[in-house]
Amino acid sequence: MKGANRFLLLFGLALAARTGVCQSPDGGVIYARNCNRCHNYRSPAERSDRDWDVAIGHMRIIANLSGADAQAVLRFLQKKNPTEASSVARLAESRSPALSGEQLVEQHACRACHVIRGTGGTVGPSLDSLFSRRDEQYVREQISSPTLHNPASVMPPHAFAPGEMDRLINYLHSAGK
Amino acid sequence: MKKRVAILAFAVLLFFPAVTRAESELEELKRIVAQQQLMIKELQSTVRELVAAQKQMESTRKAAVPQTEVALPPAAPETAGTQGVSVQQVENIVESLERKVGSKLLLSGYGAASFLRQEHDNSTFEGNFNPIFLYKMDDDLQFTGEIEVQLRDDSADFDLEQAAINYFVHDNITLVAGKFLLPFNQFSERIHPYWINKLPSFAPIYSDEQGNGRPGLIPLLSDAGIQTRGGVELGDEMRMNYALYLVNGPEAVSSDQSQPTPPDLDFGANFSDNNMNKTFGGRLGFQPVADTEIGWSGMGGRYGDGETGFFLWGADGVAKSYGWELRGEYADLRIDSPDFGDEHRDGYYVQVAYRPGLATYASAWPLFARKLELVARVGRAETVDGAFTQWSPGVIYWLKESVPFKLGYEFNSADGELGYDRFLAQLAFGF
Repeated sequence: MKGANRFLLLFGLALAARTGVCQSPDGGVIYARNCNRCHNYRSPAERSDRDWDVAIGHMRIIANLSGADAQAVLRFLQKKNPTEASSVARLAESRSPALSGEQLVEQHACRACHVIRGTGGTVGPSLDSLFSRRDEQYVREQISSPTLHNPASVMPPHAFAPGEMDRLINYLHSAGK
Repeated sequence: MKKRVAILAFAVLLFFPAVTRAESELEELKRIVAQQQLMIKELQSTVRELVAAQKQMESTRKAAVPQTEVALPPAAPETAGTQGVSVQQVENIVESLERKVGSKLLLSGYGAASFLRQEHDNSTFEGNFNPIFLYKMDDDLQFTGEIEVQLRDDSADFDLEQAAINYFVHDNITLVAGKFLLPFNQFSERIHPYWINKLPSFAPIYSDEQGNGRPGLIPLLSDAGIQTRGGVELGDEMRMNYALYLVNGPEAVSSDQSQPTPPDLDFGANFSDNNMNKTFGGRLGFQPVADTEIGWSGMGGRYGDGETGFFLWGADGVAKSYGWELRGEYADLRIDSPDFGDEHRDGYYVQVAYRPGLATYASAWPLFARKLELVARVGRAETVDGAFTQWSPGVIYWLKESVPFKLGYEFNSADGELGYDRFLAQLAFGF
């Protein structure tokens, strides 16, 4: 019984301790770090936003995600879902003040899946020295329509306001130097 | 007294993070409300532009063709500058745009079409289908049901693999009741679906029912009972997960009583417990870095007539990086029978997979090459029919990320039928 008491105390301490340690999770980062543990990454375009809401509940159980992690992944998948064209969130983003290339990288969670300037995930290829491998036209097409070059790609397509794609491309150019 | 203090301390520590989490969630809600208010203002601006454009078109049309005067409805209040479009109407537009099409019921699942050829035996085609029904009642309550349909001989066998109600009590605690896959190691609960398992056959520890079947140390584990589980964040990247369960437990497989060995365990057949003893078990998992997990599992109880005890424990691990995957498990089964004495069996497997097309240097490869993945598995298991060692190479072509076409060959070493080699081809799909 002493052992059980100690276990309960330690478990409770672990639950309490992580609250002070953890920041609010970035859904893209959680997705990149967890959603490949068992199966391949699933594209946000595979389901509707509402279906993702149900599916993520199932994944919370099977993958033993915390509630916060599961909600963060759900928000990421719904935000990146290109089939939900009526999303007001995307409308608002397109009218936001002009963002720099670096801010666009942060807003679109590019580092969740790609290494940029030495840091990031490994879901996709590193974007450092990108233009030594690909020309600018290919990169623009890949960002706006990833399945154009690879029909099986799980990379979500990204839409930008006028000028944003140019600023992003310029930033990626500088990232490789 | 000490026990009460410990329980009280645990309760305080348990709910302290919930309170702190509630405060941060309130801040998040405030941010979302502010963002929504910004969106409404943006939409009001858009509506003003559309109304102005419509009026311009109307003026142009009227100038071109004479029209009968039509009385327009009076402008609604609180609409200065919007020409008849109220804040309420804009909010209705926002709400209709935000309304998602779809139901709370999601049909998911997987299936496979397989071809098997075992040494000294006929070859056969097979089909399997596992629909998974997911129903979300609200943010706290979800139902999971899974049916397994297998073509066997001249009929289709149906089995209820899962039927569980899941209650999200807390950020880190989920209560499960019903029939569920037992969280023993990883393969039994998460990896066995055909579109996830990287070889067409099951890992040696687990019995494989394809073709004539191949026994293993244990079958895939599924039972009826109650469970608590969840995940805990230990840092920005580090995670821990746990599961504890109480289930009916295995039955005793009818065996030849003249043999000096205890009856074998039949997991998953005990839908109504046949003895007064339940089985208690659990798993503790640790994720130190991304795409890495190690775990320890254990379960024990009494089965059959309630006099024979068993204890099953296991260890598992997976690590993925730059297209490489290393996965392995070990399982150890001990049986303690007052009539037949002790018995000990164990098994393991190690699997390596490599998908070179995921590496940065392969981004310019042809699409076909980027979809190929190489797999190799070695393992060993002691079954009631004897022990066997296996090494199995394979290759996967990913038609889509959840639709693999797999080829695999098993080189089995053992006495008798356990030692027959097998060739398997499988097209699996997950949805």
